Amino acid sequence: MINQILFLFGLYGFGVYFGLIFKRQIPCAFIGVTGFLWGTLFWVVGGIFFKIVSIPYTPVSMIGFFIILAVVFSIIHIKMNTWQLSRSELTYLLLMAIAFILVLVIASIFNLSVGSTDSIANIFLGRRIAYEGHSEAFFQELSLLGVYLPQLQSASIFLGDDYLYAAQPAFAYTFFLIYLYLSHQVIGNLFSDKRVALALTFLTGLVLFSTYYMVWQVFYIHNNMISAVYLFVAVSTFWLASIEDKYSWMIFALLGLMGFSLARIETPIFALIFLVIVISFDQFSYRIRLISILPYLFILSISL
Amino acid sequence: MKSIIFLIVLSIVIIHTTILRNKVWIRFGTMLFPLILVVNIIYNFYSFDQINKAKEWQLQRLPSNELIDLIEMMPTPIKTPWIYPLIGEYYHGRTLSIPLNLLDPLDLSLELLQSQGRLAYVKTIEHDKKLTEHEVEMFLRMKYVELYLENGETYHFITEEMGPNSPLLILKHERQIFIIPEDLLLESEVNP
Repeated sequence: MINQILFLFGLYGFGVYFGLIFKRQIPCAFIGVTGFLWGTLFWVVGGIFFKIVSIPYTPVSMIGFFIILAVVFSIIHIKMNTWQLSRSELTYLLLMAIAFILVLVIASIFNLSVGSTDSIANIFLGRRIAYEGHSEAFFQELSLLGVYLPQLQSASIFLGDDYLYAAQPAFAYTFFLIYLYLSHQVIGNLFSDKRVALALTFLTGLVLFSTYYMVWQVFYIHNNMISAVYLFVAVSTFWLASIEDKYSWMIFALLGLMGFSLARIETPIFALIFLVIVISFDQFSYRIRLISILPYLFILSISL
Repeated sequence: MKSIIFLIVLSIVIIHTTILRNKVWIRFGTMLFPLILVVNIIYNFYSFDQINKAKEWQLQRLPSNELIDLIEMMPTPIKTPWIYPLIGEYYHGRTLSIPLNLLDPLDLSLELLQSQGRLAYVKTIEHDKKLTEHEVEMFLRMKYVELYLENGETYHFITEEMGPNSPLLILKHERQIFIIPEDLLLESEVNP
């Protein structure tokens, strides 16, 4: 249980560390809320990368992959002078980290996980990745499921757990916070009175997350919640990129779209439709659009 | 009745729109909409337990964080292909013997047992021993994990402590299938 909490918290921390590269343009609130999404995305993309370059998928190789990424991010941080945090930023990030670890601990102690045929298929497929690597038989089974959840669940073998039971609640918690953050941005644009905007944000958030089906999805081991949260982030951050005229939002929009595309087998089709809108959007220069889109298309094409 | 309620609500909206003109949306956004949301939240909390109890897939705390508990809490029975990885969870690296006469009725693949079941060796044997009711009762007194398959059969993975290298044997009695270490079987025959 401890291993799982530390692993998921480590992914969250890594995601925050990555997000802080953009802290000059992106609010720290957004970075602190979405860290888990980027950390897990790096884990999944790392696993796919190892398959492509035929490196065995082991805990050592994954740790090596994350160390290399951390070094790259550190160089960028030093170069851009983004490694220094103000007292308020540090306090906020620490509070977010404590809240996140609390969610993981509670989800691990009170395991309310719900499983279906798909859940078990995803868990078993994940365990097979860890045992056998990405074999041909594995890819045949994967043709019915997305790669994201099995790849993430495969970490359970390295951790000595049967499956990742705290991951779904962590995604749901992230979704709840992102929903509050981004809907506040949207509602704030519609209402001049900040109190009304804040009240409506919380009320709509509570309506959504008190609905039975939504609560059920918090514990349901499936790719539904994962694809939903990435799509929500992709669409919202693209909208923010357009209204705030900040290029950095585009990076998060494309990362969100990447997570969405890897979550289910049919999602790349919807993602490509969304991408057409992004490409046709001429607010940013052609060069910026190309830089944003090419890494996404590259990873998507090699993972398909 | 519904049509009357609809007409009343529509009339109120039209009257408000006429009297308040542009202010109607501000009033709606700041007063009526939050009220609707609060009612919705109260209803969600109030109805949660009832919906949960009525559902087949209920939210309930699992007895442990083990995979078997997640599987057992599922309302749907287990599919035969899941047996392979589950064998791997309990008997990883062991040798398994399957009586030839059981291979077809159990619909098991030797190849998948070895690969997905992560067994060291899988072999077929000539074994036509019929389990007695007494033996079945004795097996069921041992430590085991029970799995109900969608075809109505039940697998019993005997997990009673025995020599870690003891070969395993699959035995069937009516709709019950037992995977049992051979040492335990021999012991039960010596000390019935």
